[in-house]
Amino acid sequence: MKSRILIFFIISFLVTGFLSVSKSQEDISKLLEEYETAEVRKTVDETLGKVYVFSREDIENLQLNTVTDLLKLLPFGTVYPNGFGVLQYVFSSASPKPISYVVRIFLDGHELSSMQTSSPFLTYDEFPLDNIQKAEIYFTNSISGTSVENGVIIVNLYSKDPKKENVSILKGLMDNKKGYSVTFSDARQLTRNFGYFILVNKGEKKYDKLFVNSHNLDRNQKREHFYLKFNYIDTEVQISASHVDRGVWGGFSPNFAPDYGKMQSTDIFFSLSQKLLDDKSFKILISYDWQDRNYIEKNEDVGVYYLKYVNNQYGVPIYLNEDATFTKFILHMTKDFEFNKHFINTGITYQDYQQNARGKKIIYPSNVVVYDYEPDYEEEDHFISLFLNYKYAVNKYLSLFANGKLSSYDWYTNKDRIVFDKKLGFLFNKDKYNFKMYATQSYLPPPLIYIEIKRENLKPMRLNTLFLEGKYLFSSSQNINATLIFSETKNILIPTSQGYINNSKNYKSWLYSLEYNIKLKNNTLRVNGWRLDSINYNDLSSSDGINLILEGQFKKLNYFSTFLYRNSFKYQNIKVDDSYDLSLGATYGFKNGFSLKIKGENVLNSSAKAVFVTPTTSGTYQSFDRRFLISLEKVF
Amino acid sequence: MKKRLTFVFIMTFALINIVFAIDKAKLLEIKIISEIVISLTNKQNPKVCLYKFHEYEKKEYENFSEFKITNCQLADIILVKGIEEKISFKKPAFALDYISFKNCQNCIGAFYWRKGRPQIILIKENLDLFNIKVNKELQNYVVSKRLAQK
Repeated sequence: MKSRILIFFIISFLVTGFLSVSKSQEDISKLLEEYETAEVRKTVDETLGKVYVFSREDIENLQLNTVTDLLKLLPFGTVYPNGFGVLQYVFSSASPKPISYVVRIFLDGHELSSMQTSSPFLTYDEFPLDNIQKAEIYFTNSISGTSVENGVIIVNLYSKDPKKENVSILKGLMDNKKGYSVTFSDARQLTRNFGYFILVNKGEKKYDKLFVNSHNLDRNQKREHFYLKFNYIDTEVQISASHVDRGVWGGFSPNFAPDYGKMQSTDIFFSLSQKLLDDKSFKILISYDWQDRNYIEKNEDVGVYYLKYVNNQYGVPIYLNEDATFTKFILHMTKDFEFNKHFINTGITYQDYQQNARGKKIIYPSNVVVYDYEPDYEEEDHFISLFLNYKYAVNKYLSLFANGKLSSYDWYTNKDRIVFDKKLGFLFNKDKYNFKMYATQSYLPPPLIYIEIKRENLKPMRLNTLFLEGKYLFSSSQNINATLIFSETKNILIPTSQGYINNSKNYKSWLYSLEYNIKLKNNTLRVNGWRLDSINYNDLSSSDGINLILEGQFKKLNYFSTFLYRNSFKYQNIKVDDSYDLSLGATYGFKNGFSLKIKGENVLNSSAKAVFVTPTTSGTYQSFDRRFLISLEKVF
Repeated sequence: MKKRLTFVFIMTFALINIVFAIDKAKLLEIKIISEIVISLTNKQNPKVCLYKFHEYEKKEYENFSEFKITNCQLADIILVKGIEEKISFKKPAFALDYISFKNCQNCIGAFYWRKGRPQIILIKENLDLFNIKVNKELQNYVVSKRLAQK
């Protein structure tokens, strides 16, 4: 039955999407369209890997309100709530439960991830996209050129440019789960050289509760954001403050059912970037981040199994209140050289990280109360990396590229570890044919939190990747794209009752992807299907998927539809059915600057499901609830 | 060892290599402005004054447009940028950013960004002032002064 629904929707997309046709466009409007596309793609680096770009128009038309809404539309994986209820992108077949450390999110070149968990999602999973002009997402496995730590996925968010805004926007949003979000932003170019952008946001999101072991699990969240940006000639200053207050879902409880849990995170950062020299080819970025995280969990039945606080003498805590403060300083410098057919980008990044994480109050069984429990690990860590990216244009069709990055990181028992990442590939673009191929070897350092828990040396994960992509352009508005990615992963981190350990097995996987994009008048359709085949690997989540994304416009009405299919899988004795996540929405723009938006998320109530297993019970939970949203926006 | 490597890289940065290059978006921007100016002046190689432009921007127009760059007295049209105070021109002027558009009292139009999208606007009353007829293609962008000031 569900397969029929799937086929019905695919056909509906293909047929109904192109019914509305506007009058033919004139030359100037075509040039404007080309100009806008060129502006969006100006920063895209094809050598990094497979790239997906979401423009401001896409973000608005698809009603992408938060980072999660954006990541949800990516192929090769699924957005799931992890064990703490934090929404995160998880690769096909991988386990949704642990904290994901493969995604790096940058806001104007500044990395948002926590240095302890290497994950940005605790604070930024539902970060509003109201300050974002465009997003570039790279599936890379490799050298980001902007960070010491490698990431498998690099999300580059670009904030709105005051020069290109000159408006104030007030937006209010509410949904049928009693959630809301209110945003005010103002961006102006005040003088020729000076402009600013300011944003304030407050919101609350509520999810259906999950009933496990006689407890209701909570992943509701309340959040506030403040963002300020100044531009003065070639200097840019960003000041951002975010606060989130949320439930802990299954937390550290082995029975996935804490009696009570709350976590709070406050993240403040300051960054300064400067372009130097006449050709602006020398860039410096300095940033300072401060994060405060407070975690409370209580479980009187089986305890709070956070290994760091499991004590040989007292046992497993039944109550934990951890207070942690993290600071991060980053200095990043890069220089471009261009002569004849050679392009060189080289740079250095230095990161200094300090943390103070302690059990503020811990209650062990038999009412043993311990205050200020401070586990013995290093509190200050450093990273340094040097990178060199070289590109040589053999002729107007063929370019060769090579990247190298030497990184040294020094934390806890992993002292002075040096790794060298390398990459070699080519790009070929001739008329209607585009090819991209590269081979890379890179290393993904273990997140600090896993080292702290294990208190032993953990090796970085080694990824060997072969990447092939071919694209055929039927016309400027229609193309097909096939991608093959072969990966071999060594020293993968696997969970045990004593913390994470490296597994020395080689995990091999093949990812096949086929993508079709068409633009017809005011409608665009993107279809992307993929399959992951793996050896030595259990399917802990879906391995195959299809994404359909339709955007269109009819007079003053913009509409969209997204359809995300993920295949069924079986984990131990639990069978998880296919999922069909359909979202629909429309925006109507009024003459006086008002626009009204309506959106239905997961309207079939069949979004992707994650599995949880405890010694006494097991089951599944949905990533997203069925949710209906309405929002009103005023531009002035 | 690490210190030495850092030093080598910082020294490498000190090498300056200036290359005159232009990206595709900038080329298209110049092309759009050229199309508008050629259409408004009804000349294939109009004489254009670049008012308050930086030197590198002037070079871009010299290299990549059909314009004959000249002074404002001899020009058919004046392109203006970065005007921070109220100003009127005796010749047709066209603004290339939002701040100039707001400060230019009698500009015949503007090409600028607003709400993250590029916009073209032509003001009917100011076009009439300089007796400029607009062709069919540009007619879609003509608005009244009252609407343009909103």
